[in-house]
Amino acid sequence: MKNLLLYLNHYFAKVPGKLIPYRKTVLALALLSTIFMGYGASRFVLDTSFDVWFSESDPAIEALEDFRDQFGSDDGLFIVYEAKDGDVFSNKSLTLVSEITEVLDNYRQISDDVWLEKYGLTPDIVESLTHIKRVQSLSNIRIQKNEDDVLSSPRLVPKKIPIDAITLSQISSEADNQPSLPLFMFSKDHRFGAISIQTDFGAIPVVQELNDEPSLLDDDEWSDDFDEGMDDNAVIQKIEYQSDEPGLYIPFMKAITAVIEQPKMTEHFTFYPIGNAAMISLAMGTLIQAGFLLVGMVVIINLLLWSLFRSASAVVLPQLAIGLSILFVIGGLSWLNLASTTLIALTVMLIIAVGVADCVHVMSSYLFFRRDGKEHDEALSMAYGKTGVPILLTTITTMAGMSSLAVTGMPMFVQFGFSSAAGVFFAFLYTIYLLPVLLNYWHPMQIKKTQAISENRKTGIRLLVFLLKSRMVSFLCFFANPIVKLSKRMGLNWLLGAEWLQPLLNRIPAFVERFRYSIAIIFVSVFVICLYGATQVKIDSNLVELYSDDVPIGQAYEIVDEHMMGTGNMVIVIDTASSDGIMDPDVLNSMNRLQNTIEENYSEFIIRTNSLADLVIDTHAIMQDSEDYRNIPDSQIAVSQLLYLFNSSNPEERRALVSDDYSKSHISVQLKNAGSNEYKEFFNDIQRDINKEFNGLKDQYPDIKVQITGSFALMMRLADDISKNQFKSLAIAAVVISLLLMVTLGSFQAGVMSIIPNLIPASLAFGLMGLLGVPLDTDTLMIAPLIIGIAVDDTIHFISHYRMSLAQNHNMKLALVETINEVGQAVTFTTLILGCGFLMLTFSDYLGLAKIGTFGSLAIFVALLCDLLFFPALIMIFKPKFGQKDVEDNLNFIEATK
Amino acid sequence: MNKLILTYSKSTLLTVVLGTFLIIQAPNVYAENNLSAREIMEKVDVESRKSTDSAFTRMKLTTCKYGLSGGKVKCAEKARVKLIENAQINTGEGNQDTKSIAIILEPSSEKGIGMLSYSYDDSDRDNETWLYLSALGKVKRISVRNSDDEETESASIFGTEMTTEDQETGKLDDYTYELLEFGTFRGREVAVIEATPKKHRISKSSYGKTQNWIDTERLITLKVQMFDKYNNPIKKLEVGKVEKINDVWMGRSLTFFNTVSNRLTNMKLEAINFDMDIKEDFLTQRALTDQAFREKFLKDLRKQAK
Repeated sequence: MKNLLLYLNHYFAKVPGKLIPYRKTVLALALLSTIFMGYGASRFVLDTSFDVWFSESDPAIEALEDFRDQFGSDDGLFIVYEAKDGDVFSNKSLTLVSEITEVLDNYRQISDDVWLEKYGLTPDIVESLTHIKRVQSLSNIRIQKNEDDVLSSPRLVPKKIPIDAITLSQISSEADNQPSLPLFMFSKDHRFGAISIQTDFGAIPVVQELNDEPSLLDDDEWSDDFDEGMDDNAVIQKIEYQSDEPGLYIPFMKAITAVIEQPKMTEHFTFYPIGNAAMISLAMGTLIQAGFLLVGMVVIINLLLWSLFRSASAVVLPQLAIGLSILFVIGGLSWLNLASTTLIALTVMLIIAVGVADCVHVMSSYLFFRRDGKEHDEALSMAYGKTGVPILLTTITTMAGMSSLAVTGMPMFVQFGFSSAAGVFFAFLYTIYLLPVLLNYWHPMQIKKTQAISENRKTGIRLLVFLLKSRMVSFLCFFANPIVKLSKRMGLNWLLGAEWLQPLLNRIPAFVERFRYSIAIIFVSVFVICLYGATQVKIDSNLVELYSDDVPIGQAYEIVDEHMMGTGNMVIVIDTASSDGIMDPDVLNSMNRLQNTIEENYSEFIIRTNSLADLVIDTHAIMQDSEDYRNIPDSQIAVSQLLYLFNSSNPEERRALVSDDYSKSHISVQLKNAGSNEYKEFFNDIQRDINKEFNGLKDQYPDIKVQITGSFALMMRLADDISKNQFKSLAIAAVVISLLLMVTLGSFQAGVMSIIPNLIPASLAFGLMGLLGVPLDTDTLMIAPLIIGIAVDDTIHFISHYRMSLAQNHNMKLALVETINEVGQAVTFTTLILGCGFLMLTFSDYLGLAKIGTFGSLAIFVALLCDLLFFPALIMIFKPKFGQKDVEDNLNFIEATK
Repeated sequence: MNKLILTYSKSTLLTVVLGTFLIIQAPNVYAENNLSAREIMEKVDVESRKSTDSAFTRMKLTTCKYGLSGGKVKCAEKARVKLIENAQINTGEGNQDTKSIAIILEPSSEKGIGMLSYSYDDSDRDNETWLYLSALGKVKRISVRNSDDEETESASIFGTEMTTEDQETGKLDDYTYELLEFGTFRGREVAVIEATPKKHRISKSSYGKTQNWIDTERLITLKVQMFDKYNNPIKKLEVGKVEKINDVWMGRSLTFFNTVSNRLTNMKLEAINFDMDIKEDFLTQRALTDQAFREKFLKDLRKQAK
């Protein structure tokens, strides 16, 4: 191993020298492959649909698709409003709600001009209202009346809204007496009301395109001979549904918002929209903000690169590394015909971090040798000799870390893991094989060469480089100059110029030697506390807690959970696998008992349940004129006749509750919002109750299947799956990285010594989350390997450099000084650049991103302290020899500085 | 629940049985090729409104999920079959009011369910409908105030693929008509006419437009293709077994294909007879609840019918 590392050292040192004579070939190859990948990337597909997270054979997804096939969309919008006069039944409240309902219900009757003038909406946005299937509010809801053998269903509130208080109070007490209205349409204290909008989201069928426009006069295949039975061979065309693209929700939500947020409405009401449409348009808003923050992150990285290296090449070349690596990943995915998910954003962040780190290490080392008086070629070779192996090691460990995501077995995470690993590998290829060639043309500390060899040939390229450089510089100066001037005034120039760095690094060995035990004790105790904290971390994803407190969604969820029918929902699908099975009184009774049981047992989650059984019970009581009949009739024929009424009136609504052959139905359950952690238990418990209730029907219906589905339930399950799997892959990554370090560093001792400083940044992030009670959600978990990867990288550079220096010089003191001076500078640079870059993300309203920013930058800064203080302290205390013999272990720095 | 009674009462069996034929029936008015699309539709409409007094019909509704087998449309599951008998007379001043009764004969679980409807020409008088569920032995009157009934949301007929909108007549001003093509279709001279709902109509319609194949000689619809509001074909109606009954051309077999849910409903007229001798005392609540009374009358009607 030792020989291999030495061999690699030599190999990397020789790379620049070997490549430069073939620089044109290298450039041409790079250009060609870039064009190839760029062409591929032009076909890039970003799949933002919900289903993409599940494998197609996932039984839960199949159940959801079956459910939508059978019962239609479960994805609606629920607009809760708070009346500022405290009464949703006041004349003013009812009048305004009636206006909103009318507009949404009859949007097609409003002319384009009115839409534009009154609501500021263009026809294409208004068109999105086509997704509305039904609008219900207090102003148009009907109630059931049964008086003197007469059934009627008048509106709760007459079309002409009454003015006098007595009539209005009669209306409100009538509403209170309806079993289905309170919580659904208004809160018990009448402060809150709701407008329920049913949509076709998630159940919009893809209609087959006709191949050729057939002549209108061609006859088509049909037959009206259906009297006899069925044909088993008949192939039913499978209905495909359009995927839930966020693009569908955004204009829809925009149109709805324009209607409800008119001044006269907001004067009287406060609105709280709930549902996927509201959630996704909010997510889009934060996504745009995240976009700006990412730009901010890039600007900060640029400014720091500029101020630390004082060279445009140091700004441009790392970004080229990032740009090309991202392009190659995207191009590669597109060539492989793989659609990406939003996880690609994380891949991009990882590539930014790794690309910057790789280039900064090379260039920092190069600058170190140049400032030491070496010529360009020699400095470049020495820089690659020093940094090549650590870069290879960090590449391998980061790739291993990302690939460990494959163990999750969840297709999109496997793809994310491998494509990120590929991105890291591309960054490595760029740094090792393309960067030396580019540095040959354009590098920091450029001095005019006097040689006139092939001056003519070079002129063209030089001119191009010059032009590019001057453009780039003037572009950067445009932004940078004011900041640089300001920073000069404030003395920041000194800080950002890092002129303080080398003197500071020079003092570190003596400082560490003086306080080595204190340093070790502090770090170890922090480590122990954080390990304890990490055990306390709650893995939990809560939709609402993903946003900061000043985003109104949290408030909206709280209000709807507390006063109305709840923000979550799930469905329990009952498939008897037998025609008319659902009409069986035994099945309906089981459904009804299950509803009662779960409503009673899980009142902290469940607000209410609804099913066909309720409908049968209601109809029975009405038809028999007596509350004594508020039950399921004993005979199947009676049930069938009660359902006849329902079936004959509105098959769409009937189909939303029970399948055409009455073999399948479902119970819909309205839930309060809570974290995935609580729901996991809840879903398990409910499944147990389901089994207990329905197992009794197995004799009659051997193939009966009762299961939980619905997009909310699936999302919660997904969050829980991700958490579990991610934790598993994280653990595997830690083990794999540690093993790799032991093997590549050539000694068990070196491995162990490198693992501890490596673990501190990661455990600090998790430990703090545990100690501060911040739940570890899906998003934070996904970023964990990234944080670890970045933090680990610097430590690996530090340790491997020390070990190589020790192998060469057999002198601990020399090795440590050299490492701190050379790598210390690069590590400080990358820490400043990436740490400040990630800090930008802290300002996101989306806590998933903000947490990445906070804990990511914290981990990066702590990793620097580990490298500069803790690791040297460990060396001084334990004096490890890393498998080397004849090592001079005199580590007396205090004496030396005196 | 509250919605259910409302929509049900709007799609009384009276409208079901007659309305469905109205769209396809047409007297023997001969085609004039120089008519505009609107004029052709007007002719179909005017002629279809001719009185069909004292009618007795028996129809069979077959509904199933369908698929293709050997290039033919076939039921892919056990079809649900309903057999219904309906009797209707015009009464009142100038025969402007209507009374009708419909009784379900099959399936056995719904056997005996009956519906009695009185509809009045006087708009101040509410239409009346009584529903009888045989298994519970209860009659209920279903009431909807006409003034409150401004909504014209389309409702299904017996839970099949047919809706009240599919058999609506008149309201020509609610649509714009365009003549797409003249030619021969299934051996008949047809005009293909596209009907697009006007702005005030479209939000209440399930369709963005329909294409109608009109036999220009017999003035009967042979086929209707329905499109949704995105211009996707979603449903079609095929008319078969075209016969001249009581001097009126009509299709005795209508098949509605819902091409999105892959469900079809075939409605076969097993018997249709006009100018029958139907006594007004039969069209009372007693016919719903008193089985012997009902059977006696029905027997008599079946005997009269061909």
